[in-house]
Amino acid sequence: MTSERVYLALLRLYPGEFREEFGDALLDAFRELHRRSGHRRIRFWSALVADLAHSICREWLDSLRSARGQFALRWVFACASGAIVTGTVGSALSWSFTYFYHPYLEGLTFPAWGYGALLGSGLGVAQLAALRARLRLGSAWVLASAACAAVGLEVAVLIARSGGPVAYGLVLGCFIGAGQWLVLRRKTREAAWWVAASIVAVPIGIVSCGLALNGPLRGLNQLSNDVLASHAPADSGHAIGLLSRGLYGPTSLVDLTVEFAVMATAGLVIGAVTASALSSLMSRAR
Amino acid sequence: MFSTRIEFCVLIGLLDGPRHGYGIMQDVGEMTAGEVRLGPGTLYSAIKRLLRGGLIEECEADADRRRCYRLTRKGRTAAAEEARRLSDLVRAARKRGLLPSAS
Repeated sequence: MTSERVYLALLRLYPGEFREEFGDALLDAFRELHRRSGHRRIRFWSALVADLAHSICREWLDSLRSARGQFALRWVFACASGAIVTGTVGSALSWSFTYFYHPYLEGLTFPAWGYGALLGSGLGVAQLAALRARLRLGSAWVLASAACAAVGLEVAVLIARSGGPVAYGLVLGCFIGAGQWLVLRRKTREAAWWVAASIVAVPIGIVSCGLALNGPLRGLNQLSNDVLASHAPADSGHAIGLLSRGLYGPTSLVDLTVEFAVMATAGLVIGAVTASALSSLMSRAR
Repeated sequence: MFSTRIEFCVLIGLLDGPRHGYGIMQDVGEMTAGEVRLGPGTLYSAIKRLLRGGLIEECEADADRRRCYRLTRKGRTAAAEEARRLSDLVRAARKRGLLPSAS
């Protein structure tokens, strides 16, 4: 029974479509082989693992070549592009403020909701382009993403002071997911799963880009990172006085490269986590 | 029509009639004197591609309710074509002295 459980766990590494179609048959064949393998357990398992490794790779390649796989790749690319565009525009704003600084602008801050709206719009536009061929969602998708990301980021920044990056991601994911659900529910059944996918994806995206570059939260929202790091006045009522001080605008090519890498990582991870949920929802489109 | 030696082996294994997955694995092992040992994953990957290509089809499950497969007409033709191609290659190899003459 233990062997069977191990094999069942390994079967989960196949793409879902293949597993659904052949999972039972694979298990039947395994039982038969296992029964007849006698005491040659090491030989049996080494052959089995080699067989699994080869066929799992092959099935994933097949799956990526399929129409569903192509869409998933487009979606992941769109999420990464949206995040990179957000980072680029944010950096450009920050840089312009530093460059064109004037005493009249003293005290001006860039609120968290502003960055949230930017993030929501960037992601929303890129995602809409990827979805266009399969679902007609229109500008409502972008507006809902921008509005909910704006509110979500304000709340997330407050919560993140005590809850850390995961809580921040959960809140932001929840708001963005809920906003997009409002649009998605008109097109597909069980759209509520999209909120769950988003709640899972955003914290993973934030934590993984942090882990990858040793700077949790930097990237998806460098403004709120300031708050967490206590660099900004806590009573500002805003995420940070970033634009008023120009502290975190990229000051060198290395800064800019790191920021692009972080945004791309976060976007890729969020896209990869949500791609399978989205494909499954689209198969139930009205 | 099909792309790998494994798929050709599966088609040959089904020439004698419908088989379930484990039966095909055994047949292929015997047919190739143990040279080709199919694992479940490799076998069902090949079966998936052959089903999509319309070269085999699923038939009624056996007494143990295991899924069985049989050749389609298209599959038989494809297997015959591949066998002829391989046979021509072997003949060419013989002619050039790579293999001993059959007679």
